Amino acid sequence: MSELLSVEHLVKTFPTKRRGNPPVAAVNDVSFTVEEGETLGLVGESGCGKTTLGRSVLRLTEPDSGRILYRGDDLMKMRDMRQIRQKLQIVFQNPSGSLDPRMHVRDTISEGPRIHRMNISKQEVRELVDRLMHEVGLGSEYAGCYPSELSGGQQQRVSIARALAVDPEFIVCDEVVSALDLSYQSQIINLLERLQAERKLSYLFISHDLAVVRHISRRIAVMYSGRFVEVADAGELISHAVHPYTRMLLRSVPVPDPRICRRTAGDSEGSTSAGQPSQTGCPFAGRCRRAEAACRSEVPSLRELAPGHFAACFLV
Amino acid sequence: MKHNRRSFFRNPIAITALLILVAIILFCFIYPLISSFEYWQITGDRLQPPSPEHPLGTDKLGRDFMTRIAFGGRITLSVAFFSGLIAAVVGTAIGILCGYVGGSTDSVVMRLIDALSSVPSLLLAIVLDYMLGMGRGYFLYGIAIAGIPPFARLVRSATLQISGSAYIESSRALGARPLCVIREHVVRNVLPLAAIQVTTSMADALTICTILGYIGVGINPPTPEWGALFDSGKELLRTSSHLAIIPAAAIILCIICLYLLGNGIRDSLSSSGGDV
Amino acid sequence: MNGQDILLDVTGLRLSFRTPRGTVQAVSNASFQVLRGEVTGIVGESGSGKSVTACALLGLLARNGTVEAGTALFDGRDLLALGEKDLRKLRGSEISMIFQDPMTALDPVFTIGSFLTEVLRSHDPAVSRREAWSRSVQMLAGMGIRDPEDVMHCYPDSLSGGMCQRVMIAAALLCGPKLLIADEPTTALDVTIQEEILSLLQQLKEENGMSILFITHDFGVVARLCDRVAVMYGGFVMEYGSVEQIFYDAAHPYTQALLRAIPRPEDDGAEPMAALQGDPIDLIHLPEGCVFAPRCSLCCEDCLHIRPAAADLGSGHVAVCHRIREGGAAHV
Repeated sequence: MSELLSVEHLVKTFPTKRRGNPPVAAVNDVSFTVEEGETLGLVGESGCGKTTLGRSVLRLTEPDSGRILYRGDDLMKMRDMRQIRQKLQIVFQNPSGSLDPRMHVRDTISEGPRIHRMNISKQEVRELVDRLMHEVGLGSEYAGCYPSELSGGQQQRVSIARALAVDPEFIVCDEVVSALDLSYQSQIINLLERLQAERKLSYLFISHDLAVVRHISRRIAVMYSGRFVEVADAGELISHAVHPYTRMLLRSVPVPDPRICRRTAGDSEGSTSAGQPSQTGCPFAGRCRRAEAACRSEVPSLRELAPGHFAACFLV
Repeated sequence: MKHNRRSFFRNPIAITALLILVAIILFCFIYPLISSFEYWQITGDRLQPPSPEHPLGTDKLGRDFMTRIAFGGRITLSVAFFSGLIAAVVGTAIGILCGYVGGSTDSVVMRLIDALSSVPSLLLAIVLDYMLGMGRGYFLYGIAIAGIPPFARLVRSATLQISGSAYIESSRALGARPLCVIREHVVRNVLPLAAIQVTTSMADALTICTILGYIGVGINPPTPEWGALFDSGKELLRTSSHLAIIPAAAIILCIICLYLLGNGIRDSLSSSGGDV
Repeated sequence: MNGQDILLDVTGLRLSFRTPRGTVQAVSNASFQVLRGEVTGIVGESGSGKSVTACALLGLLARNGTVEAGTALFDGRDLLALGEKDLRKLRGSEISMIFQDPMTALDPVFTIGSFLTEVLRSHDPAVSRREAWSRSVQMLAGMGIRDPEDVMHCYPDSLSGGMCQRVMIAAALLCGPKLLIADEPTTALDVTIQEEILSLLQQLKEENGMSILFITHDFGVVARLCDRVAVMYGGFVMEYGSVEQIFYDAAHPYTQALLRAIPRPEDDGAEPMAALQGDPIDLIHLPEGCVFAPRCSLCCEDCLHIRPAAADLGSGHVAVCHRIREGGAAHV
């Protein structure tokens, strides 16, 4: 498989509201690659920067520095992203918020082709919309509906169809199932996987739900406070995580099995009632039970501990 | 919009208001055409009470009052309508521009709008009328200009709110240029709000127009106008009270109907937006 | 099961909401119990009626909501028959409730200290300010907050979501209620913070003998904390039993389908996820038969036309389904 997207040293900072405080680096020197037809999962808790990263890769949020190489072309150097935007799409978390409440499903899905004048005649647009709706599993009777008449799962299908309409190669899935009920989560995940196989799509799958990410991704990156702390193959990460934060995350996910779940409170890798992440040194040092002096003064970089398994920690 | 229309038509008050307005408008534009008198035509009989020949009697110069009311209504309602419309179009455009583009454009333009809104609309109308030629209706533009700030502010804040939505971001992610985004998404989401404000603006314009007529600025006699008619009628309240009461009643009725119409539009919008 | 052990016994709860589009039958039939010192979980998806069930118990339904039928016996009294005055005496002192989003539940213009002392003193005006303060500090410390005195002086916007939820739990427990109703208290929190809150609740249960009615959509949380579970769908309790019965011996097709659909970290992605087919039901126009029938793989003719009755599977395990024979589970 060839490399589709390569992100190098991406940085995005936001100014803090209080004067005098240094700007917050939502994305702090992040690098990764995504290959053709691959899903890279991105896991982290709220505030870790994963959503900002997803938007920055598409330059929906303008990064401060770094390179974003798409099939060799640096997106950061492009003045007009319009053409390339067809290849890089995004599906958002909130199904109802990401659809214009006053547009029919048909108009929403056909928005992309109409912008790029891909299909000029109305008839061709109609046919495209019908095909896409069929592809995402929506009956064509919904074409004339407004978003408020659809369920969350159906709205998300419309969002996916809209992204597919411009024939992309890479899709950022930003918490696409987090707002859905359990019964629709699996439907949408299966749909995404089928589309990936049929259209050879690559995904950057952002979520806070480890189990879902595990299912759909080939590799997983764990993000904390703007940095990648561990990157590994999905199975390897779940069974042999080494970074203290990843391990804490894994231990915290409640397993739907009473016998496994019922343990007494206590031993975990880190405390969670923490203050702000430290500005110098490892971002996790403030919460880590095993933190040492070196951890607080220097930022560990991602090191390859085993083939394909990277971690940013001095202690492993 | 399906929801909007359905719930609007279920609102009896708004429908009644709309029908009354339509009836008044039709009367004002059709009656002078079918009346046997002209609005300036002086017949012999002055200050006649209502009779079969003159359904609303005659005024102090012997002119048929019904025709004068109808024709006056044409003037007053046209001024109200057009100034409200101009204010709506210009104000909405400014609001969308400021809300979507933001930055220094937004700051500068909104400060100008603030300055404009500090000028009393009545004064602005009088000044413009005086400068551009009295009695030829240029005060309409004064009223229109004065009506811009509420639109600009309303539409700007709605645009700001919409601009943060995920569907706008999706549009940008699909490669849409700003103008395209505005045309496809912003306008259709902002228009309903503007629609409510239009009725309010028209009601305000109506008020100002009649005040101007009342104080003698604006349309020159013998062209009737409801405010002017009320002004000339008020002297004869004791004898021929209908000459004052009817224009006053017409003005008040129209204003009330406009407000009720606006309420109806607003209610039908909020009922379609929120769900159980 | 000893009758003495039952703290809350809800039977046949039925409630609806009047809306411009019609009457929404939010709950058609809900029956479950909370035993002393135990946690009962109500699990379901959005629209299942779980949240409004909890609200109804404390008389907190919206103005357009009506409780149409059912009893909720709490220590011998029927909560649903009580008037507002009596309910107000109960709230906070005997039954407390915590909600989903702690950040918005706290008034931003009051410090935590004034909030907690006010809670105490509104229930017992005889308590002095000083005593209320020290009891509040003690309670915060009991919630695992490291510097309770400092927190008392903070405003809500300087606290994290996890901290706010601890404060809310502290406020709920200040007057020593027998029952805590928790409506999705950890849904809005990160998973690591959620684990802390769940540990805290477990501790309260084990050390203080607290009873909890826990509303959630997350089966993992149910497995972690609950002793008994009621599974709701479309306003009906579909299955009710102990946590082991529900997880290892699920009898109802809906429960079975949900459990299969849960993504698990060990799941390597080779197979597609087990998904539930179909779309959500319309609570204004409920089907005449079983509400799950349109989406059920075991659906038969009876299911479509006749509402199923509760089938007793023994040991307190109940499932509402036609396809279950006494003592057996529905098989897919």
